[in-house]
Amino acid sequence: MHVLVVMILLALTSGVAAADRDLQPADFDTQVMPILTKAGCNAGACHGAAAGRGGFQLSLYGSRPQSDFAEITLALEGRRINHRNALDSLLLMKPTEQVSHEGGTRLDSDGADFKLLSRWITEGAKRSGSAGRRELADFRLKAEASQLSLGQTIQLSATATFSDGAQRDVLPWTVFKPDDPSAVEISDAGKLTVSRIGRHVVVARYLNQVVALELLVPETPVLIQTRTTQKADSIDEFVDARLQRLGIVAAAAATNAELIRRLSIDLTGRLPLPDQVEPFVRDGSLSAHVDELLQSDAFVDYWTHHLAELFRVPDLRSNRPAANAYFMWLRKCVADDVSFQDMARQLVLAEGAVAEYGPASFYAVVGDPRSQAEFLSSVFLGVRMQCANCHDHPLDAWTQDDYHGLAAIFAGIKRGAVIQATTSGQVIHPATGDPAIVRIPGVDRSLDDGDPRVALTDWLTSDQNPYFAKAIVNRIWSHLMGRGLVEPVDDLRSTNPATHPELLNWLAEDFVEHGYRIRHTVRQICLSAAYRRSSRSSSANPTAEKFYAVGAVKPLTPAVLLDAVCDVTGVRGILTNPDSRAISLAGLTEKSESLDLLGRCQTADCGVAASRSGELPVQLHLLNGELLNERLRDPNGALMQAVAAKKSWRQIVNGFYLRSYSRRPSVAEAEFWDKQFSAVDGGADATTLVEDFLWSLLSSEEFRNSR
Amino acid sequence: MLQHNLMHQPSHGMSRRGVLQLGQLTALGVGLSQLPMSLGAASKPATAKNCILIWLDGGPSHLETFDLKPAAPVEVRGPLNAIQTSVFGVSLSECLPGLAQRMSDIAVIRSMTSPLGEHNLGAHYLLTGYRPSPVLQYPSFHAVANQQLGNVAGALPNNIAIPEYRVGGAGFDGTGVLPSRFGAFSVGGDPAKKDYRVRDLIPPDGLTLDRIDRRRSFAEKLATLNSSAAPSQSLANAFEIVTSPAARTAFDLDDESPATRGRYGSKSVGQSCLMARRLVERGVHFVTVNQRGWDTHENLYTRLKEGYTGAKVGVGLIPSLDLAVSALIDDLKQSGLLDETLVVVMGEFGRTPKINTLGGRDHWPRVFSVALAGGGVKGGQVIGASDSVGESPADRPVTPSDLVCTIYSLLGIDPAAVLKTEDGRPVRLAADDASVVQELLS
Repeated sequence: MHVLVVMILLALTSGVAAADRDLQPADFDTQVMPILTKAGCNAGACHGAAAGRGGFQLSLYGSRPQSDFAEITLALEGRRINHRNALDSLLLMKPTEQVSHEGGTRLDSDGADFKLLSRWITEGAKRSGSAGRRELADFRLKAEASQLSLGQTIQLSATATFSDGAQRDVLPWTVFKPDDPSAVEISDAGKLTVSRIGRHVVVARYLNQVVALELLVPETPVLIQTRTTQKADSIDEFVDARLQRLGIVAAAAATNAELIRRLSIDLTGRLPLPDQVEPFVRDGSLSAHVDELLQSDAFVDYWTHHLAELFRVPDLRSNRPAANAYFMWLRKCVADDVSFQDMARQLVLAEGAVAEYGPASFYAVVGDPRSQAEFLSSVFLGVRMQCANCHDHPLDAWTQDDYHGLAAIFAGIKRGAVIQATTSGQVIHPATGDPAIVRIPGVDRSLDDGDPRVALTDWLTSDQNPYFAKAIVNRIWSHLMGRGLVEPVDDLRSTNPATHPELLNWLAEDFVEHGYRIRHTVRQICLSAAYRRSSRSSSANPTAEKFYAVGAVKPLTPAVLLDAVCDVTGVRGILTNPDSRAISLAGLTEKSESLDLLGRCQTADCGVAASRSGELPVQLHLLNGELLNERLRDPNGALMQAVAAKKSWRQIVNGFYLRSYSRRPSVAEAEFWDKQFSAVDGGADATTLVEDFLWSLLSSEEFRNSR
Repeated sequence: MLQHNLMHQPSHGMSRRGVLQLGQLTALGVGLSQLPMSLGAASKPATAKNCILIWLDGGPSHLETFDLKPAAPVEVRGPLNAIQTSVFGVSLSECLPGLAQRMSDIAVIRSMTSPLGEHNLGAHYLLTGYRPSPVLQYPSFHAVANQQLGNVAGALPNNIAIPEYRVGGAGFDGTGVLPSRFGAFSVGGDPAKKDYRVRDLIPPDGLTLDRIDRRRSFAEKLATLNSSAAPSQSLANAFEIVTSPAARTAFDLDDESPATRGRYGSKSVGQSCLMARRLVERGVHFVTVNQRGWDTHENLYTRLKEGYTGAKVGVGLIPSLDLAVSALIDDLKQSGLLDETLVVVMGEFGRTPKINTLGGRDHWPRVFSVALAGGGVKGGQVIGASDSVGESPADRPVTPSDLVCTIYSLLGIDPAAVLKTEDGRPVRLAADDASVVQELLS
């Protein structure tokens, strides 16, 4: 029996050596590890979990070959490797289920991978051969085409280049993960077929490298024309090129009447004033109007509200002086059009009393160095660094050293009434158990003595930082266009590519060139044809909205909706100070059942996924709650004042249409209301009728959305 | 396909569970000849029409509730003792004496397993049967059942959450790709508070039924005149519930005797279960009772058992749950509704085998327990087992996909049926690799 096995092994070894000339003996890091990754051994659900599985622990997707090598060859008294008889090694018997294996059969005992593993063991299970350690230098994934038609099959190829210069087809060890497995099928031989139109992303992993591949599948085959020489608005050039490749026809431009409401809500969080509407509809200049809005106090109020949510002012609700200083500092930055680069510098380098010096609260809204690292990564880099807390980020380049090194930069921060940067304090790196070494994410350079935040800030706000500008322009784009070029907006990474990567680059460069000014980018977007499209869809293509072929229908945020209700009814009083708007500091920090019910975010990272209390509670609140009912019948409110002033029904109807919808009633609507009002002749009946009239406007979908 | 390959294949066959079941049956005086001979045989028609989910938000410790390890070292065993139940050989936590007494109606799965140890992700998996995906939000099984079985609850919403459907943190509303009308209606507030009323259910003074009807007609007219704004189904629901007296009384706990209210316990979970029972009696099919606070990273003894430090009679999460579920099972049984009402008690994952330095346990999805009763579930059994320290499944692993698939089967919904999303994407109700836990079906 033993003789037979040895003979087979000899045969195998010689056979493999002929086909695989590059390394002899087999190399652990670049030949054995890819097999384990492909077989799923080091996935998070198996031995790649932080605590391993079944007593066998590998690094997630093989990010730490050294410890994996030790785990396989030395741990468990070396029982995983049998040097005398390779085939009796647990490393081979488990995945082929010759002994019971909870993970089932992972390897075919006749396959090439099994043979290579057994050869590696026979050769002595060495980390590397005589040529020394070899690393992966480059991994490339190619598709025959990036644009394909429905049902078409294309061939993928995957090539690795190693540190010794060797190149190799690594398709068999590449793990593919399409974002939509029901639409994209990839065979073991690397044949890819797409069964749904639109844009698809496939993430491919080989060893510790991940790359994303984008595929476009138009509804009907389109002819790709060469770029027109006529230069359009730059944003539109990028957006239109994508639409063309996807064969999607864009909607017509929105009318001025639609645009004035959209612009006003997006830029100032308010409905247009009734007397602004008709002049603009008649002969308004878009760019003049956008400029006017950009210079208004209302713009400052509303964008301060945005930034206050982003920088977590609501988390200071139990420390009003700090919240106030933080909020007012943000407001001053918006009012003075301070560059976002300067804002970041002041925030990251802040020290001082939180009640007096606003930026210091950048350190008061979180409680410890690790949360600080996550918070900073999220707001300034648009990156979810938290994955790298327990293991290297599985879908990005961030390592555990990056995460804990960044956290270590904040280890000396003393939090309290006064924020102080000291040199004491440390962050323990969980993999080593030692204090983590301060480190700028992704930068292999030791930091000078002194406050490490200085070097961090220089790196963060450098024009060359690939994340800083993109993260903020993507947020601005998302606010105005209804969805980010990268979604979610805090998840920028190569494996989550933008729908329009060149556009995102262009916006970021344009932002940097124009001094990191938020107003500039807002203006650029608002003047684009993409922003100005009608929200009435002309295309049945399900991806039309994602590619900005139609204007987005955006629900008013809870605060904006509440302010709009107050403005139309002329009755405020939703917060302790009856004059406060919901977008003010009080609206972010005070209790308000209406705001919560409408979906105000109540947790730290709600900017990303605001919770919804469901539609029915909102509808019940609009119908029975005091929010509308009290405001409709308030004798000092706009409605009862109009009644008291003995305005005609028609004037009341027209007036409130203009206030609520920024338009006049259509002929059919005017007729309908005429009929209703002519059926009552004054008195109490008329009062309740007029209340119910305005109630129906304010609870309608048209009112509650920006379109 | 790729994902499928990476999944663990559960192993089937007669196992320790089978032996356990045999023990129970003889204890109950059932002869050997009556043993179900084939676990894979076609099941009887589904009897469940309703499903009450008691969601233990935050992730309940399996080691303090349904899967105690009295023989394990103290750092695993934890502070609570095991007690015998009415079913021979099955023990539960000392804090679950009521359920222990009713064990013959209850099935416990001790080998639930999932790889997702984060609240949002875990909740998504348990409630939808799918791991979260970047391309679509899967709907919860309640929303799916609501959509599949149709709304026949009259004016009341067919899917109600008490007090809120906010589970596993923010970001998951349970409706997924289904239209929002199939999602849960959250009643809000705390039913255990004196004079509790569902928020905004009763119209204010002066808003008469005639006026409500008029508002309704105006809203409908505006929607039809304005082609860009479709009429809202939830607005129609709001009008219906507000104008139905029966709907209003359904939520009125003062309608119950003090003795009944007392049996359910004074805590929110108890009064919520009482409300769930009233709703099911009135034709509501799907109710979620959301008990918060199970994320016991610290001070587990106080939070799970005592309620406050030094309490003579424990009023913590587990005793409160015990009173609530016991009373619910009793009342459903009494009214004959238990056979057609499936009760599921679960959270998003279990807790770490070892007690941490803060006297708590952290997230642990690799093995945890779920309890079920009624609705055609075969009670008095334990399915699967964890290993000696409650770390991994030792036998008969059951995934959340399998569990959701089983819930669909119990409700008479074909798990292989396919939903179409608004943009035409097909979504199978239960995941491809899910299989029914046949042992649960009686």
